[in-house]
Amino acid sequence: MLAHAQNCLEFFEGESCGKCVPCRLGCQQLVQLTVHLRQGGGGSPEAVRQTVERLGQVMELTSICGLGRAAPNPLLSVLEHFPGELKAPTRKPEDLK
Amino acid sequence: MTELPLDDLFERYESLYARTVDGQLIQLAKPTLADLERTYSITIDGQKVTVNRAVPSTDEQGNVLRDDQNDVIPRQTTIYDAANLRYQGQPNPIPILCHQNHMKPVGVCRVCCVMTGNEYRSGQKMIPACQHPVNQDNMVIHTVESRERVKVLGQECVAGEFVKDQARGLVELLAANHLHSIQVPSQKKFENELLTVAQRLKRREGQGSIPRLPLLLQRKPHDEERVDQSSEVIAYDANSCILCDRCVRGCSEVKPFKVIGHTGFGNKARISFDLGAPMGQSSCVSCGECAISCPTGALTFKTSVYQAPDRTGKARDPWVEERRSFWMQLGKEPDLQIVPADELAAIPLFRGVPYAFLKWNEGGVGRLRLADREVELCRQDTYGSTAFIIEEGEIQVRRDRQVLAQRRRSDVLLGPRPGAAARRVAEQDPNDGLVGELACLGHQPRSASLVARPGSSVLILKRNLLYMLQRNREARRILFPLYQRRALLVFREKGELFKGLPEDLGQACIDFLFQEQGQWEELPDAPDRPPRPVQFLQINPGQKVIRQDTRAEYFYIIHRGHVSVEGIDQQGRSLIRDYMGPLRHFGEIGLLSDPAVGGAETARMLAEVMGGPVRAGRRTGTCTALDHVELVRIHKDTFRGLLKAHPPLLAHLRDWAVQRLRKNRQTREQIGLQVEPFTEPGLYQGQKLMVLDLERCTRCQECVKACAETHDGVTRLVLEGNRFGKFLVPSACRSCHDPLCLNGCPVDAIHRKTGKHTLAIVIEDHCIGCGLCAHNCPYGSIHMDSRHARRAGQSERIATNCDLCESLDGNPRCVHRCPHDAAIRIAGYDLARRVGLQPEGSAADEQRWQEQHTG
Repeated sequence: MLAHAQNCLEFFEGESCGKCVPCRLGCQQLVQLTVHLRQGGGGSPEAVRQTVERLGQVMELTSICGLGRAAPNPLLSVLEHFPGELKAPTRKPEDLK
Repeated sequence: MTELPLDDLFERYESLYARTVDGQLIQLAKPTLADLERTYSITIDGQKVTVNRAVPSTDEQGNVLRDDQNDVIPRQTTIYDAANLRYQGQPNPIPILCHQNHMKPVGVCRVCCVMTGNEYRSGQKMIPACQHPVNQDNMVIHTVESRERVKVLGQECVAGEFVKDQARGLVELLAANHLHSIQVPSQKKFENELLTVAQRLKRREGQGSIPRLPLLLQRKPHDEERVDQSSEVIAYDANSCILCDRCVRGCSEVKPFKVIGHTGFGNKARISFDLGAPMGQSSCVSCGECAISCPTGALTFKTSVYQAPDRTGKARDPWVEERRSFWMQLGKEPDLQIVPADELAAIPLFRGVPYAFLKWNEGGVGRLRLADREVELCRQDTYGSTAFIIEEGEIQVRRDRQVLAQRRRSDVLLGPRPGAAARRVAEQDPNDGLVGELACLGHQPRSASLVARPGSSVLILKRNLLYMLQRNREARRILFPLYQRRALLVFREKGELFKGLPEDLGQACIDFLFQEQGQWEELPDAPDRPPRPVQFLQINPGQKVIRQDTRAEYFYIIHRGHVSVEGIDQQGRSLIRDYMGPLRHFGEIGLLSDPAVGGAETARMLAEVMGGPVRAGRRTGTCTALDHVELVRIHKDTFRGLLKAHPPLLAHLRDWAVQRLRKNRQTREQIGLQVEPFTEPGLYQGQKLMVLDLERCTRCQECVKACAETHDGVTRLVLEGNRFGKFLVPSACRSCHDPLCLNGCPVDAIHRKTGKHTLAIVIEDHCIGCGLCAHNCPYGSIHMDSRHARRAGQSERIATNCDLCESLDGNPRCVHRCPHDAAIRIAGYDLARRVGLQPEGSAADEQRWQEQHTG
């Protein structure tokens, strides 16, 4: 599921026009986070949940257009429907790429 | 219900309509003039505010913009404007990064987002305060300061905290990507606004640290590859760039260069020079506007203007001439020190001036301390490009050895004295404190000598700092009332209106206006405000001040610049009747023809002279600003009061108006369109026009050769230009009355040569070659020269213009060398006379010229 979310997020990152801050930087951070999660890093499930929800809210509220507002949805729905995908980190941050 | 064709429906519902914050369809329409008067009542942070639907749009120097019909161009009031009004007297609580008051809002950083309404449901979004107009009655806005309780997704919370949370989230994102280091205080070059906003929004933490990231954000490492050091003047670090667009707007809106733009999209988006060239190889002219605008130090100055070494390899002393002059007076080296940028930034007057600008121009403000002897700071009738702020002691204003006034420190400008209890602002006279700014900004000779008394301490400012101050709203609030007062005083002294009248009458009139003028205000901040009785205005070239056949509302006094008077006669022909320069007045005919202003008798007399059907209280001509014009505008009611209180003035003005009308009629009959070839190419501006008598000239080019020999082999005289009668006016500096080239020089390298009766505009060695003066000169007299080797830290070109080089007989070399006496240097009025033309304005010019230059 995370791979699927990553695919969607990379799509959004690629399509972001770069004009407004929440979409330009938010998409980047979400992709980064998903990549790290798949590599067994990222943070505790609780911290990941807080981060994604918080970032999702900021992006939804402040983006200029619909792209930025919809971008966090893939990861948010993983959290909602597949909470089991989030595992405690097994690798240290410095080992991740 | 009628059915509309589908196309029509689309047109109506997709392009012309938008949704309000409540999701209701509304029509998007341009703000109209009526919106300047109409209001909306909205609630910001629980307090009701009434705001105008539109406010006048302004240019980058804060001057109101008008269209060619002389109407103010309105722009919609934004939520940020409204919040200014709600928090009057306090700083606006809305955090901003990409917005600046003198630029058009773009709303890209989103940290200014505010909440609308008292409930936030899923699917709603926040709106950027800097850009979103107040377009609805009863809007409810919550900023970061709101203490109101609202509902967010069904849960109750404090609105301000909710809004702050989102702004904080954005700032955290920005900080993770773009905040790489904190400046060492001793090497501070710019104010990092991202850090300032971050520290304002963050939860309690230690001062001076990069805000901790509570989220799992990945900090982006600093990439040395993305640093561009190719420019000699400015360094660009793309790592710190938050894409706020301020440099882009600075380069194309504030300055006319249009070098900086965007390339790439998504996370590859970046600002670029000429679509991706390295900065040093692009067409960037290094004017510095981008580095002044940058909020995060992505664009920084490599060195300061005066630190860059001169040709001998030494650092420049910004105060060479002043030091020499004071030295000679004191007989020893004067105590003249450079004021550091940090000290300036703490002074109220300089609050809001970008720190990067102060640092770049460090040295542009000097402090002169005097012990036991007095020093003449500047001399009457000389040109100068400095202004003085008094810190301690006093400055005497002397004309012809007589002391006219004493000026002292003003706490409004400088803030309370350290250690002393703050006096109430209202108790002080804000007109003290700053002197000499009139000659400095108005490009006129000093009207009096300024003498600093023993024991005083004076700040000496260069013109570019004073110019930058005007961009700043807070500083304008301090400076403009002062200019208004000064303008009136100068008018009393030299104004044409009071010539031939007893001196005490002029005094009484100006005193009357001082009493009536009321509080100075910039823009109509609150609605339902009566028109300001007396107002100081700055008008841009080409704008109309009054329009024919409109209702006469104001009387005008010209403080600086030139105005043309144009009238459409009964045959529908447009004739330029006259042009007017400083110290003249206009608008009285329209006012006096209204019986309610000057009485029935006056109106009847004027009607008689005018002949034909008279429209009482209407303008008889159109007045257009020819260059940068500064006016004092007096409202009809105040004007009426003035005339009522001083009947001799009424009689005088009436005679004046009658005379002017008679003259108008003559002009119409005699010369008609002839003034136009005189005003159109700006010949009226010339004080030292280079003129070639083509009947004598044999085209031997000796004048050009002489010029080239004098100026390192590059001629500054190009024999191309307008023909005027039998004369050719080539493009050599004409030493304008109002030198437009001086406006906006970012480093004050170009100014009128100091000294008595000097006219030459000289460009100093620390010119950075930005080309703004060449761009500003309407007559093509300034050339950008790239043939001379330049020193490090500067761009490759330098501006050059005719410096009126002196030969043995006192004439410039070009004139001296001409074997046929074809080349001459004359003033504009003289040229007009030589071709048999004598517009009224040229006579006044001649008189002014005589007064100024034959003392």
